[in-house]
Amino acid sequence: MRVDRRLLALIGVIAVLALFIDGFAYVYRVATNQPLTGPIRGVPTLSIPFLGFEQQIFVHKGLDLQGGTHLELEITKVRSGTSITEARDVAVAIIERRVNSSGYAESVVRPEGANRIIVELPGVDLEQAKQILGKTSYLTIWKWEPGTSDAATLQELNPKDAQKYPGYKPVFTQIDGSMITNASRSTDPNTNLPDVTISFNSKGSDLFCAFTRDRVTHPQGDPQNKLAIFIDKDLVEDANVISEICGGSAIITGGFTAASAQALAIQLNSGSLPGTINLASATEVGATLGATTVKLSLLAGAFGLSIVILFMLLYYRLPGLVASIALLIYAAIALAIFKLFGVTLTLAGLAGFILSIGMAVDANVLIFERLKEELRAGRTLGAAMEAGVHRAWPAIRDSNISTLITCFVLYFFGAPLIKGFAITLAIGVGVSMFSAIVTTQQFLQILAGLRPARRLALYGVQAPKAA
Amino acid sequence: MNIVGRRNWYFLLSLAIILPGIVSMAFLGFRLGIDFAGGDQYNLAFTQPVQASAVQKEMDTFNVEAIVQQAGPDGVLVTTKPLASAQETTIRADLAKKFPLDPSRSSYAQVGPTIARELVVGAGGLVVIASILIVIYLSIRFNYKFAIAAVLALLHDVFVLTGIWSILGKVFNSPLGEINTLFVTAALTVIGFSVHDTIVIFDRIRENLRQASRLTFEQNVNLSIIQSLARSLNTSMTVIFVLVALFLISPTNIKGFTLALLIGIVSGTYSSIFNASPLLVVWRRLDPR
Repeated sequence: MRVDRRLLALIGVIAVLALFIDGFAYVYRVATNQPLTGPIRGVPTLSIPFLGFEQQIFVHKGLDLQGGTHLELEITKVRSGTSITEARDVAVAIIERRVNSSGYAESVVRPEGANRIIVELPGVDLEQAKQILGKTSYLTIWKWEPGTSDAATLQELNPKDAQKYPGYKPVFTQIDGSMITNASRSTDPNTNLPDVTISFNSKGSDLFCAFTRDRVTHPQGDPQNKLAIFIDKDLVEDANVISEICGGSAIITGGFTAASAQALAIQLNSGSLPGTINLASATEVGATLGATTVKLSLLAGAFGLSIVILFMLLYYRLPGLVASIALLIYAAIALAIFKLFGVTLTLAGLAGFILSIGMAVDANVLIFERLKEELRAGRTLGAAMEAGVHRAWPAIRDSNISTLITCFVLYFFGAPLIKGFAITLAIGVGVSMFSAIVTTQQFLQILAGLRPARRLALYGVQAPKAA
Repeated sequence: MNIVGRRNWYFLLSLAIILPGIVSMAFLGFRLGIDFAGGDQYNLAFTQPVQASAVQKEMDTFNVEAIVQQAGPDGVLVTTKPLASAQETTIRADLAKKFPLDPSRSSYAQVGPTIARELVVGAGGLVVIASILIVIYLSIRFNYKFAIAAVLALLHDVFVLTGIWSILGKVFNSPLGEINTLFVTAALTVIGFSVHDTIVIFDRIRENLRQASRLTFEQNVNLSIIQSLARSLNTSMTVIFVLVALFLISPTNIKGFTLALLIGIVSGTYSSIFNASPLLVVWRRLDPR
């Protein structure tokens, strides 16, 4: 077999592309006039307008490497009339809104299975996460009317709250959280005090308009002038109505601090969850712990790679050098794939990647062992190289396919943590086959064409006795 | 070197390692992590050295079946039964008040009982599904005898690993021997690696059998093992180097994971050389077709 120039060119192009993507953060810094060190502003994004290509390029770190909270929520007790998957999707939308309005960047809210929701909040501890997610489920607006609460109301609401004003009972206005389209913290222009602005959909707007028009007819201080907001069973807000509020939005004032106004806005945004949400599992990782893990894994990866390269050089000599270069190209390609396709790297994922280095080496070792045998059998260098690759191929193919089978099973049936491992291992195995079969083989063929590279001692083989 | 000829000694060595493990698994079971048993686990790091016994004393006041173990001089691992959200908050606040807690180096996990049940079923199922698919693939590439021998070697490694884990967790009561999701990942990796190793040798046997020679089947298998030996040891040694490095520097939460990989890969290398291929010879003797 001759050196295939087209294949060599392909290897070159892929390697350059991979290095470009690996170093893209620096390209981005230069392009946006940022210093080359220190924290980076913005997300490095590669866009090629005439191809319609736009992709963010950075290493997506899992929560275990980044620090943060991972929650798995389970929906139970769905209100009648909704299916569990419908309830799940509504809940995902609501939680997403709630998380976003709290301003947590890069958070993930996604459905999992029929009745689960996964929430990932980087850089947030569990207590904060619970505050964002845990409390609210169903928001209702009530008015106070003369009378005493009946048993049904006391069942529905916290009795202490329902009996706040002796001689008055709460009456449901038919306005609930599902009618609120948005709520945000705002500031009263006259007093400069924090308040909360809410917007209703048309049905909520009409109801709220009629309700407030009726309320302002009562004097201030009278419970009948008040608007009572209950979340689940608890009274969270009991505000005076100063004027009728029509036109779809309302402002709630009344002794807020900036934080409590923000909290109420979040609770209002959470709207009405269509069922009860339980915490099925939670994981919280401290920020420094994640960073330490990354450092250790990179150290282990670098150490592993150096040992492997050292071993290859000592044991296989010249081909070892070739394999080491192939291995570095392999690492660059794999990293570029992780970055380009946004593969989330977790601890298990890193382990899978480091393990795949071992498998990449194995393919090379298989080829070189065969190469040595062929050389000992007295073949010429070129023929021995070709035969070496050719005869090692079935073992490389079958062993890697069986590893890919395991990855496949892990990916499709495994828990999220196992999935991360399966993806990186599979990418590693795939790239390693390319590395061994295409890159190493082409490099070997180049060597075979160079006169100084023909001494058998360079291959760790003694020249065979003339047969 | 005659490896196949001494096969019974090698089978015996495997048994000597597997049997105590099986006994331990049968009578003592496993030390289940919260992934499988359900519950709460704190991996607490402190700014100063703290004794596990002091934390244990504090945890006992909450009556939550807490088990506290030392994890390095300035860290402990606390495992409890599943906690209600409010209770969890109280406990954490209390620990933060009484000990020099460093939240940024700590971690916490909670697994509810429903998820735990799913994982137990899932993990066992994964091993079975992966094994079946591998048998099918190898039956196509080689034949069913090779496929079954490879899977027996694979099961050997699974038993070595789970047996040692049962002993580590139950007899030595070490947190390293905990069965959790990471352990399952390690076990599945070992399966992949074990088959990988076995296939390389089988490939050599397949190739040698095709060439007409005066060698008997037994000699042929032995020759193939010897021919692949350099490769088997070289590859395994490089992976083992990497894993030893990982094990030494890994934090407590993944030490068990790297140890499991280490044991599994040593076992996988052993079983592919000393069990899988000699099994082919045994089978050929019993059924000489």
